[in-house]
Amino acid sequence: MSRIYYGAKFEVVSALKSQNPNTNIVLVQDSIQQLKSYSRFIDADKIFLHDNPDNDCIKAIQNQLEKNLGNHYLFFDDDNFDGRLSLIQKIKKVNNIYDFSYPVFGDSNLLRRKISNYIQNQDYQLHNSCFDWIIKYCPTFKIKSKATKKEKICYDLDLLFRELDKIGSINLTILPEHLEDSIFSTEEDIFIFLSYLFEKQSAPAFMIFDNLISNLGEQALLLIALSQMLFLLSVSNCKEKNIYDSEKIVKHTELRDLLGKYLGDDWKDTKYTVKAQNPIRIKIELGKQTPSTKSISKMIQYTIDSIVSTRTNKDISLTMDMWLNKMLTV
Amino acid sequence: MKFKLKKCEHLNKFQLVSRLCKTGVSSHENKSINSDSLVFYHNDEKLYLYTSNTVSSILIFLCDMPIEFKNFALETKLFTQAFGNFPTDEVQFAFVEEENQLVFGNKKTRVALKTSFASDIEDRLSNEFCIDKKLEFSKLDTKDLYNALKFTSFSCAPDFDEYPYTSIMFSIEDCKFNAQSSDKHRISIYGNQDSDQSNYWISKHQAELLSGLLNKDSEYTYCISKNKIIIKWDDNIFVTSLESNEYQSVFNSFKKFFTDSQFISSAIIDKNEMTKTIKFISGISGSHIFHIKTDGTEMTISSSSNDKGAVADKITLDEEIISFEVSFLVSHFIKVFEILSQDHIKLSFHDYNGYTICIVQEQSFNHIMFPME
Repeated sequence: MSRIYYGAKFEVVSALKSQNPNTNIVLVQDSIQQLKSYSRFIDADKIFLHDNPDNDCIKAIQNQLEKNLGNHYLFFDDDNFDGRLSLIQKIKKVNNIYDFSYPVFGDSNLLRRKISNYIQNQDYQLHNSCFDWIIKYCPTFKIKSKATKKEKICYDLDLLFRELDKIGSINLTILPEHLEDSIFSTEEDIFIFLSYLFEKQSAPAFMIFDNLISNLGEQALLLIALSQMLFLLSVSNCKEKNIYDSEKIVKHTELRDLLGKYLGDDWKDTKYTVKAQNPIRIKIELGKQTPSTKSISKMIQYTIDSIVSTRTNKDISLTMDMWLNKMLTV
Repeated sequence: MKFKLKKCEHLNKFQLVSRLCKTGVSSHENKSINSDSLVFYHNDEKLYLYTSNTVSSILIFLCDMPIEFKNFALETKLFTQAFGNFPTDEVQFAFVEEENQLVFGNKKTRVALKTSFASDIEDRLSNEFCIDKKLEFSKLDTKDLYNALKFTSFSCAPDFDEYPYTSIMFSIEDCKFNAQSSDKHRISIYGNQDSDQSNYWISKHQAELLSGLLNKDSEYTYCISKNKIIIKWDDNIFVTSLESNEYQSVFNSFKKFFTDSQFISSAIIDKNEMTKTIKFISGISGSHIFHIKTDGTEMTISSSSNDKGAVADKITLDEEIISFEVSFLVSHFIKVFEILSQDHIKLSFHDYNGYTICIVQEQSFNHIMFPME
């Protein structure tokens, strides 16, 4: 009888391999072609796992099963398969549906259990101290439900297990230090990039510049940089006026000394909302070296020019390259 | 830089390069040398042709060239087409470096092709041909390798089929090649089936390319390093990537068809007569399956289809054989007959789990054809 598996493909294949150690598991992408080339002499002892077959493929698989030609299992990314099809109904009746769903982001207990179950069947061990690292840094991905069109973030077990297998092939016991080289995230921190700009470290700034643009986009990068520079301008201004009391600086950066000071054009009090600043952020910035207000002002000017240029000029990459060079030479 | 080439002497080199480019799998984008680039490479007062399709690479000696010039690349397809169709045998070449152009022709006809500077050619060569490394090369038994590829490449599965059936598994034992392939409906085995040597995999396209460059007049040496087979002859080098993986158990299970099957009967048939008969009946009936029925010294070959009708033909055998009935694919029989050199072929019929399989043997070659329903 056929079976349905859904969830993490890599985990399903591993489970099938451990259940059937002497059987070849064939992951089938093109079911129709595979069924055409089926050989009762060579394929009889294989398990064919059909990857997300459509309704036509499922009907063809059913025909093959009725002729008793091979072991054919169905694999789906999630549990939204078409329950109206005769083969799926038959499988449901005998309860041959196996859930290998990806753990939802935040469900660390399920992630821990899945990892433990997987490691049990491997030749290597995973030290207990690794779990905290994995839970913190486990790769994630978004799954979009075909039925509800809702997205959910899940732990990417396929990628994680492949990485563990790779490390396990050279280390019998995996320790946290072995995992530290596995960087699953390719996102760069914009604030680290801005600190490189202010410290004039051109080499690291150039290295992460392209990644930042691909993650954020040109305009978002410039706007975030502008916002950070406006904040730094007010902190730097306070430093130049020898104001080191963080409360005073908070007031200064929140523009409390200016907001509501003057009447509006209609000679009435103006309405305003204070943009609250985090005092811890200010304290951190006070401990650092801040560029002078003059150079920050120049940087702000360059950034504004570049924002204008990205919205009007067609050659955005040239604008961005020029912006980076100007920022590093202020 | 100027040189002369005779088309009749060099056309086969360009055709080989063109074939290599056509079997490419992907291209290196944004690089000076792409998978469809043909590089004119100058080294040690010699002019070479270089091309790579990311799986296989070739460096062919073209002619002596005392004048130094910048290595340049151009589009292979365009060049081979222009050179191949050139109206005269002798063609003069001139590379105009300032204008990035290769001009070739004679007084009457002239072709000018745009070129690009092949900047990373030196790195490519040292990476792909392992020129810097000290490798031990062995003498290649050209005929043996040619036969190994010839007797196995025809029974590989098409590209879209399941791996590893799309490739040939081979091993080398005492400088002799053993090879196996199967498309799951027939099995070809060349040489020793039980070799305990490391196995390598080569795709059908690579195998055909390799057998295409083997020439009985040249002396070849070979070396396998980092899953690449490097073949050298004269001043030429050919490299193709191999795969070494866990799939050997899949092909090693083929021996069960020899050991677990029961011999039923055998018949010696005239190859030409059988080929003509099969082609005739399948042509008339329009079916890709034919039926064999034996009775005494008679072998009836028939074929039928619902829309065109049925055809039958009889072949008289020299010796009596046991009565049985079995069906096979027409193309499988025709193809194996084309490969075999003997005029009279012995067809052995064996019983495997209630099915009649046909085994054909010739010296180091064993071939199994599975029946159709």
